[in-house]
Amino acid sequence: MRQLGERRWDLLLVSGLIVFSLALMTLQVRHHGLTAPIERFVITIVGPLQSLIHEPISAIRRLNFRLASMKSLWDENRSLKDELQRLRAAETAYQELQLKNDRLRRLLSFKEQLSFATLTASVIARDTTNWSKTITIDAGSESGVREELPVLNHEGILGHVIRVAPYHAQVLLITDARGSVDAMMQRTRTGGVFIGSSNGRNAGVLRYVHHEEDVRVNDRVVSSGYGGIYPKGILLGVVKSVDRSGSGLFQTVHVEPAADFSRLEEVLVVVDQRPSP
Amino acid sequence: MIVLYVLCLIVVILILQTTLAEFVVELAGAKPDLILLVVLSLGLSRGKRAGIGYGWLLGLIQDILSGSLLGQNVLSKGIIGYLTGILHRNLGDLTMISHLVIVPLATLFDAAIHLGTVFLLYGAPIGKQVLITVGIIMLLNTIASPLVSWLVRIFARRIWDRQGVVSFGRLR
Repeated sequence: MRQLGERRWDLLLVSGLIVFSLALMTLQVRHHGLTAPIERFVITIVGPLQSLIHEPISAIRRLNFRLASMKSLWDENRSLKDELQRLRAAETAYQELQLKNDRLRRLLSFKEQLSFATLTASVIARDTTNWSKTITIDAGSESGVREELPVLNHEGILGHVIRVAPYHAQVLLITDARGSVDAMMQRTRTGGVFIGSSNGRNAGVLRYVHHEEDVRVNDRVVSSGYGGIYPKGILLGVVKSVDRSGSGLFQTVHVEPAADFSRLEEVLVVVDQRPSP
Repeated sequence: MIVLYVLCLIVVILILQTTLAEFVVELAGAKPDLILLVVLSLGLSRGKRAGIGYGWLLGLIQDILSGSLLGQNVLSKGIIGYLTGILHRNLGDLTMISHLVIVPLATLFDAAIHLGTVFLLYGAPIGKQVLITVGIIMLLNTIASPLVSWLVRIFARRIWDRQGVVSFGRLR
């Protein structure tokens, strides 16, 4: 008896559920306005709860994505860094070539103005002491270099060759105290002897210039051609100061050499001073 | 073998002189004389005969490589090596005090030899600027001398102390 009651009760529940569902569906389709308030109510209650749960789930999803893409980003970053390094090295090499090109162009332009034969060489070493001013170039007797040949660049006189090996040579710079140059003032043709300074700085003094001679600051000093080493008319330097305070026959003329001796890279060795045909 | 070790020491010093020292020139306008410091260390640690011998040899190499008047560095380094070798029994090696006293004096003496020979032979003027340059070199040499004496000490241990060789002078 009891079981029969329960069965009836179950049957009632199931049928009621089916009927209710069908009715709801019918209402939804045919008369939406009737179910809308119920729907709005449910959404109003459930919506905030959904938002509350959605945020952490989204964060976890984003983190997962980031972790997954981090490795590929890492690889891409490393690859881009390598390429950047390679491009920077290439750019540096290009700039270096550009600068060398500019220097050689200037040297070539200067060389074309000269009427005698020259040989281009690179500076490979500098003096190893504080008191001597010498450089070593990568041209020697095999290239036609001999002792006492003058060495120039587009800025002016640099020095002359003092020692020669088959493939290298040592050049004594005019700023060395041993490197005297027979010179004259370009403006007044006043003669003198340029002697390098022994104080370690790249400067020099023009000696044996008579007290009465007209020498001014910024006057250009050029080689006179006497002395048998340097050709005539090559720029040596510019007058920096004149000292007439001494009681002797001569005034002291301080000369700033035209060439920048701290940046020597390519030089010209005059192998034959006779005018080229 | 000793010759090889000595040549290695010379090569190392020359490489430092022509590379690191050049970098210093751009900053200070002068460079330390590492050859001088090697001669000082050798003279103090090995005696006067070693001092004059290595001073002579290293001075000659320096003259040839630098384009200096041949004999300038031979004279200055030889004398400096001999004089510091006399102090060998009293000092033994470059100590802190000797770094501050002997190195500047040796630098001054070396500069005097160079400038004196150039003045006497070529009549080159010696300006006031030279005192500043000498001062800078003295300072740079004093700063560099601990490193150089350490290098020399390492070589000396390998060359002489291990082999018990008496070369140019007596062992302590």
